[in-house]
Amino acid sequence: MITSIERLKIRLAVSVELSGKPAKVSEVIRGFQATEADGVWHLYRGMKQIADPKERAIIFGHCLEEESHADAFVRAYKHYGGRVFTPTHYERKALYAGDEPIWKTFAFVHVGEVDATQRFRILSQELPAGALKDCLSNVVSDEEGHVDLTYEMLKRLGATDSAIRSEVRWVRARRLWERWLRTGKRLIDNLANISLSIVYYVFGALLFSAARRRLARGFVTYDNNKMKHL
Amino acid sequence: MKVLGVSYGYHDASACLVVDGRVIAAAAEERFTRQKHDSNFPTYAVEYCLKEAGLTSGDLDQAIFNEDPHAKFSRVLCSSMAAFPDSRREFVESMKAWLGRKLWAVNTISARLDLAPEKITYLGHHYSHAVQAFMGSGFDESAILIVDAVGDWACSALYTGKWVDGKPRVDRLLEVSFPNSLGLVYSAVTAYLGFSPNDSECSTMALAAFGTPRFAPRMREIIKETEDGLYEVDQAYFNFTKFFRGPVTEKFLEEFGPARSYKDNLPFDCFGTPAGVVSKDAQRLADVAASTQLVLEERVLGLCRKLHGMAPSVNLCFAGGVSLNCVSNYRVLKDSPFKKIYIPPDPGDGGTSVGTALYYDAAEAGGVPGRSEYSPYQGVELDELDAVKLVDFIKPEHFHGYLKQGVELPKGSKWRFKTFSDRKELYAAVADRLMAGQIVGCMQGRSELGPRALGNRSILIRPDDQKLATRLSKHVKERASLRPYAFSVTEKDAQATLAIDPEHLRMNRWMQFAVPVEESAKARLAGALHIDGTSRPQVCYVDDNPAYHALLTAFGERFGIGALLNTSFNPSGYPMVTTPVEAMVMFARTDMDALLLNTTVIWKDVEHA
Amino acid sequence: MSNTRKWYTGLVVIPRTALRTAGAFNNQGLGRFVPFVFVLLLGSAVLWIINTIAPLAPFIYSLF
Repeated sequence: MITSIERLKIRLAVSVELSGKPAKVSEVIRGFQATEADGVWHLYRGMKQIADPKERAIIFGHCLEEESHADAFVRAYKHYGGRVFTPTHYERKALYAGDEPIWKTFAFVHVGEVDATQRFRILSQELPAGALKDCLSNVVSDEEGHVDLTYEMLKRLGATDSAIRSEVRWVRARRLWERWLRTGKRLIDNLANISLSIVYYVFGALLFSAARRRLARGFVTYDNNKMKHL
Repeated sequence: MKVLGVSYGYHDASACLVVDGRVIAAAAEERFTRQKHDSNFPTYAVEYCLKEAGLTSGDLDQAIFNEDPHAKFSRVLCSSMAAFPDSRREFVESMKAWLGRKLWAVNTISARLDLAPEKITYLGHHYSHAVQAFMGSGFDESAILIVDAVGDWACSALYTGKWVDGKPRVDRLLEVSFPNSLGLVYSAVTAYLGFSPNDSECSTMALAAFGTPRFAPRMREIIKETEDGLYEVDQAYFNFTKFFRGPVTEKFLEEFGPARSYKDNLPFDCFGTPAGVVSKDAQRLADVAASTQLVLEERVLGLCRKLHGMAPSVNLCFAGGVSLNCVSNYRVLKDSPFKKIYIPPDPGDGGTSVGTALYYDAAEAGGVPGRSEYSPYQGVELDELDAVKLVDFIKPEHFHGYLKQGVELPKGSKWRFKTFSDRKELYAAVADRLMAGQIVGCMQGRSELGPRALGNRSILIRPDDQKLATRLSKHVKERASLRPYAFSVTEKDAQATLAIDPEHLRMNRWMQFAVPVEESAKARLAGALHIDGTSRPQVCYVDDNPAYHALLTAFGERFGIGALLNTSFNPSGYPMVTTPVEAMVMFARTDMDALLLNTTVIWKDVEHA
Repeated sequence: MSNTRKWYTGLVVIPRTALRTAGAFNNQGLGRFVPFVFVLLLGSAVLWIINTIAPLAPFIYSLF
């Protein structure tokens, strides 16, 4: 569900934020790599709950594709990144509690695929020629296949059309909420930066000499080697 | 008593469950989340440990955490203040992390495990390493050396350990304070050399073998030995308190030349670098690595001498991140005053969850030295059936487009499998494949704790074939040619293979020492040797891993030596595989020929392609 | 003693953590830092309280 506002945002990002800034592009690529790797993780977890080996084999193929996409982003990173690639780490969280039917996990994956495909497509259209554009173009053609595959998978796992529709709505609401949280976090992060910077200059001037004296000491004098409770 | 050890927050989060003094399960979080060195709270590792024992967190008598967050916070705040006014960014970022999460670690553990805070014990970071080293050793008494990057305040620490009235007692002798850190120096040089710090220190160690330590005199002045036998790091060369400015200072760059970009080629090859391909610049970087490595070894040996002077024992327990440096470990084994050395299977932060849980149990309920020894095979048991059922439905033609870069497989090849009821036949079949020059992924039993693959999550090839090892590096592991491989050898063949004192053989069970190989064995182990003729062996005893020992023996019957080149079963950038499906994904995408899953062998049937 | 966490545990943990932290600074000969530490902790505690109002949560730096 990519809105026209979002399309505009991507255009703006490409022309203003990313243009001629390889460091920023490399950060974006790290994010894409992390998304693909995270997707594989959810698929692995989902697979464990599926008994039918035929279905599992289909997901297996899907895992291969997602992993190869993650690799493709690592390769693209090398064209932009000034530092050796280190993956972004998320705290992994299962999408649903263990007693929820497994098709719900695939509903979440399906929505993710739809959004990612659309975003990658717009981005690949907007970007100037380069490694990231090439990489995204290849990924998009695979991801389009995934969108159909995950939808079919939902049905084969026993979900009805109406249940799928309702779950997809719920997933969209959840993703929206998560985006809201991320936006809020970014905002508060900036506020925290400002307030902590002020605190730093006020207290730093008073405390830096004591801190330097402490660091100049070669040994730890206080014996903190014991078991403790709060 | 049921004690859960938890380690998280910086890198290598892990969990370990100890019940009545014995390790029931232990694993790093990365093995469940597929994020190498994952530092997040070990949710899935805890879940696994409790499940393995059939417990819930409510059944726990105690949880124990490997760090004193309050003491560490004092160091973090102090060090960012010390660099005032150049450390605003460091202060802001570290305060956000500390005030937002890290300082409240005890509360986080309490909330995640639904345990009352009174049920959570914590210890200082180096103390955690000290008890980790001592508890697994089986020694009655020992000197203990911890050399790490930094814990709360200490960077290196000396302890003694002994058992008193059936309880372990670990006492501090002295702690070298931050910022005098050998571990941080080595990581900074690793970053300077264009490798990833806190991950690729092994590349620095590997590169060192190609250099001459011509910068050692200067490096000795920077990491100066003090009159009291310890050391001091000249902070003018490193940005430990201003880390956003890069790992090293301008002064370091002036002294040792420009840093390497990770994109610059380092043409060194552990099987012999072709003449004329090494630029002056690449050689300079190797010389910096060699100098750093040499001075690190000297300082670690200095600490050993100091420790022995304070605690004259024949035994040494050694842990902390620097004890992963297998070249320096061998110097300690060879040149220090200690006769017996114990390094835990996972001597880094990941292993502290094991040691602290064992220590708490023994300190509260009592114990005996030998009872708390543990094997590294404490991780997830594999379910081969889970994978085997899949094989018939896998269509390799569907994933030809998703092979790793550079890998080519004949179109139309099929996957086949065979499950063996007779183990002897199984190992004979696998040994035949290995003899034929195949690359075999080997997954058996429970996964290993720590960074070393010890036969249960390993990729194996015959050890004499350098071309095969190069194929393994290029098309399976995606690994730089300068990095050498290790090998496993049965205890029966170890003495004829390794040029070390027979008394040291048992200390080499977990691939922790880079040791010289006997001249007579070098040709047979050519694929697993570094340029300097050393390797990092795993001496495999039948009691440690019967299944892997049987495979080595079967291979030895064909090859003459029960030895295999052994490298960890993980795709580049990811942790070792945990489940058979993860193994099969790597098998599918790389140039591996066969996959052993307990009693089943899966192979790519290219002949019928 | 019950093994499980109580509803008020979070509230108990804050002052205990503050005291432990102040103690750690004193032990390391950094007593002069203690007022500064309390300013930092106070700021983060205020944010935590506001954080309990769910719709505002995204705008508050999360403590726990």
